[in-house]
Amino acid sequence: MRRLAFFLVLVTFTGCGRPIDRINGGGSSFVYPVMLKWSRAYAADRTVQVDYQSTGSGNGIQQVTVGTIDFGCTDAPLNAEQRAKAKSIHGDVIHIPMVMGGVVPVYNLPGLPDAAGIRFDSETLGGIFLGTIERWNDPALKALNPGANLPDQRILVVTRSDPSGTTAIFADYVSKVCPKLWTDKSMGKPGTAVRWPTGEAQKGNEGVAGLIARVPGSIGYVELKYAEDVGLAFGSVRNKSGAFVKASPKSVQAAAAAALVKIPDDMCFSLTNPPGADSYPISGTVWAVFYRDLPDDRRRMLTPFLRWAIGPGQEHALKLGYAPLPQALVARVAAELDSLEGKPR
Amino acid sequence: MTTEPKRPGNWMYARGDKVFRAICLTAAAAVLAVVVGLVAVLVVESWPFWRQFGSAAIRGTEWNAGRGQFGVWALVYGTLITSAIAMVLAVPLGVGTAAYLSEIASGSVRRAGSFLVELLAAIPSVVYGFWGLLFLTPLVRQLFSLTGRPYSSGSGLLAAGLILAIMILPYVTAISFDVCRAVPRSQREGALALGATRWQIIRGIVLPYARPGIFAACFLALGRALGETMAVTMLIGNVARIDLSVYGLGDSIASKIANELNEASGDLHRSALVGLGLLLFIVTAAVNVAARWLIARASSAKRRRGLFERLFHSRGHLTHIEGVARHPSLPPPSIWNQRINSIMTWVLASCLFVTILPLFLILGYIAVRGTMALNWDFFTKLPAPPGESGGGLAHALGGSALLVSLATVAAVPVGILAAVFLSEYRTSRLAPAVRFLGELLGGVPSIILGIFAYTLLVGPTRSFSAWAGAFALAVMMIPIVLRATEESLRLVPQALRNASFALGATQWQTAVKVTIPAAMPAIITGVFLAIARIAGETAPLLLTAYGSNFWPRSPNDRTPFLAKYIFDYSRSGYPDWERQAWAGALVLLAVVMFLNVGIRLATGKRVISATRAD
Repeated sequence: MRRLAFFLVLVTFTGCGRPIDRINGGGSSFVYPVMLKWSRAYAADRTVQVDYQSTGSGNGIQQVTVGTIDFGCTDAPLNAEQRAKAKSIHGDVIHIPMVMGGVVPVYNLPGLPDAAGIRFDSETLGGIFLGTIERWNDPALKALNPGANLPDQRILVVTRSDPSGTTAIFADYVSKVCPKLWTDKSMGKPGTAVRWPTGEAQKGNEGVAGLIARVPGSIGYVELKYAEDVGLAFGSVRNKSGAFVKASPKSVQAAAAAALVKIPDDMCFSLTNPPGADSYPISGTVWAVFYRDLPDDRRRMLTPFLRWAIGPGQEHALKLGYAPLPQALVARVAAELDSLEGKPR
Repeated sequence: MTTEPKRPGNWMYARGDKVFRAICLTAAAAVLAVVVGLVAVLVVESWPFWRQFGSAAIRGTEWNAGRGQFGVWALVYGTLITSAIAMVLAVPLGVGTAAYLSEIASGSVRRAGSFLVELLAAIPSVVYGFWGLLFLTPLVRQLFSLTGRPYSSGSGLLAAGLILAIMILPYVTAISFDVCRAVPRSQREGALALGATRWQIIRGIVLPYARPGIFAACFLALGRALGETMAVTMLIGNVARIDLSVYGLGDSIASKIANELNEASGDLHRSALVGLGLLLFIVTAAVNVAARWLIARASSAKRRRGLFERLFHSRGHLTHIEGVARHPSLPPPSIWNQRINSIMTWVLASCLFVTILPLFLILGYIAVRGTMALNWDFFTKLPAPPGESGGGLAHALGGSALLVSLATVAAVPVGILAAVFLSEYRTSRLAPAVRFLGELLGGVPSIILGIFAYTLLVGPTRSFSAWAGAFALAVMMIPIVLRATEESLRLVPQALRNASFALGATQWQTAVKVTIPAAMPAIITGVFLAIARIAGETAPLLLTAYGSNFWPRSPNDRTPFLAKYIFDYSRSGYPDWERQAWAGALVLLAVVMFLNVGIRLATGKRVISATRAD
């Protein structure tokens, strides 16, 4: 028996004995599809493997902070408390924007044609997720969608069970546009962990998308890519200037352009509810986060990968339905990476 | 006297005994240390939470990490209510099935039935969850819409309770079956001679006699239900609130830990989750201790007082055999009794049917969908990015093999040597403590072992690793190997040992060359059962091995494992991923079934009695 076990171990090791460098990442499930794509494409002609696990933004932040992974990805920048904790453990954490994307309200209503999509505005989205709108044929929804044959059915809200950056983007939007329904007293500050007053919860973007695909009458929020791949219908959302916009790389780019007139020093910003007629209002960014003071061998692997990801890698992102970073931001990120590489340890 | 073992004056001869005893003692002490360490880790890690929240946590119902609220009641409620639903369904069914198999079924039905029931126990919990998600929740959803309940996905307390019922059924059934079989033949024959029907025997003789054992079975099953993680988190809805209707949503302690532990951003949040772990540990330990106590009491009561005496001197039981006992001269069973008997025979037979139905549903569903999804790529390729077809889970198969191998290499020597200590040095004062704690360890929910391994190995080394995952798995294996080995060593006749001693062999020579080889087949069975048990384990590995999209490189690295992909992919909705989840579930199921069926065919040993430690 034990001989067999040793043999198995031996086989496992000899099968993969090439000396290959590996950096470990994890976190946001929002960015997972393109991360996996990047990781495969990057490893194809290099000896560096970027191993990324989709575990949720909260996980990414926490595991980077305690140092079990080299970099994390998150859709919500670290809050003050998290920064303070990181500082006490190993110093400053830097945020590097990787891609942008839209969070879309996905639903499963078999009777409705997918192409058009239901129209939502801030009041209806807020109402549905905060529990004041309970049926699909609610007057507010009907008023927005005069042509659609909305069923007389209860709305099943699906949210995230794990602390999530997608939740943070969506909650940031709802709290901005529905100040009456979302008060800090009733809901707390918007962040990765939100306890919605209604509905059920699933782990990961994939969990929410999967549940909505299976259950008619449900609604939830997922990253655009997941909605498209699973084949879920998603609605258009009325933006600040009153236009109904569907999420797409283009409309998210428009939002980014409108929101990023001035890029803050720490590169932490919010893209939700920006001005502009073409802007998709529930847009967000994925940041790679890691300690400024990374060990040299790690940094030598990580910064070239990040440089590649915000350069040639953006094309993969666009193909997968993400919005590439605006040029001005790419230049800022490149400068930041330069300074990281030039910084003597 | 020409054999080689004894050479007086040889160092091995003089010191061998002491050295061997020390080695066995170390293994036994390792079991002790693991339990003590586990409790220490839980208490120390959760201390900040108890100190800061204490009574507020116990009183509070709101668990909202975002706002720093950590009330445990909603989670306790979800845990208890799902377990209660499971018990209400599983206990009557399981006991009915056991009674049917033991008292009514013919030999071949009995063998086949008990075999199938035990296969049900071998299915990994993530596979239960997967099946529940895609097969059970749509059924529950339809039930809801038929009964006009509030609209939901079908997930919730009821679905989680149902899947738990299916999961604990084999435990209730198998142990009840064992105790029913243990009722002496003379009891049944006596009652038959008095003209009792089968049903009267079951109701009046077998079940009352077996009652303590059945209670113990229920407690063991309850312990399992309370600590179940993966299947529950996939089905319960994950909303921590108190919903007084069984149609509502909820969340359980174990599910909360699995969802949030690695993501807890604040120290207090983490501490609160470990506090939940401590709470779960205390409850499951209490339930398991109660079970052992019942078993011990039942067996000592039997020794004190013969059964026949007990039954026939207390009128309570006899009155069930209506008419017969009070009026021995009455003609044997009336038409009325006959009719009840045949009705009850049907009822009990349908218990058996309902009990093993899920096995066929699960095996069939996964076999059909899995076979369609299996292809060569699955075994040779790495996962493809979403949206691209193709790709496989080759690395996860390798990673799972690595984890299981490491765990086996670590756990088997410890388990066997500790068992040798218990059986060959049973006069040691340490022995009862080790035996008790070993059994306690067997009842600890696996998610708690995940917390333990994370705190001990992932935190300090600052790296997820196969070592940490294998450590958690090894801690799960040790009680199973320990128990199987100790039982088989006990069955080695004392005469063999005496003969060996008479030839001049020392204690260690006797153990290594006589006792252990004699018990070897049973020990190997125990090891394989333990492997089958951990092969599909998910919850502790999520916290320790973490997963990876590349081949495992060394045990120092995070490591992919098959069950994680089943968990992630099954819920995703991506058609390609879902197909791979099916294929993964089929492969996992095939391995586990192969181990179980193989053991059964090779040794005729019953699976659950060998793994009773869990």
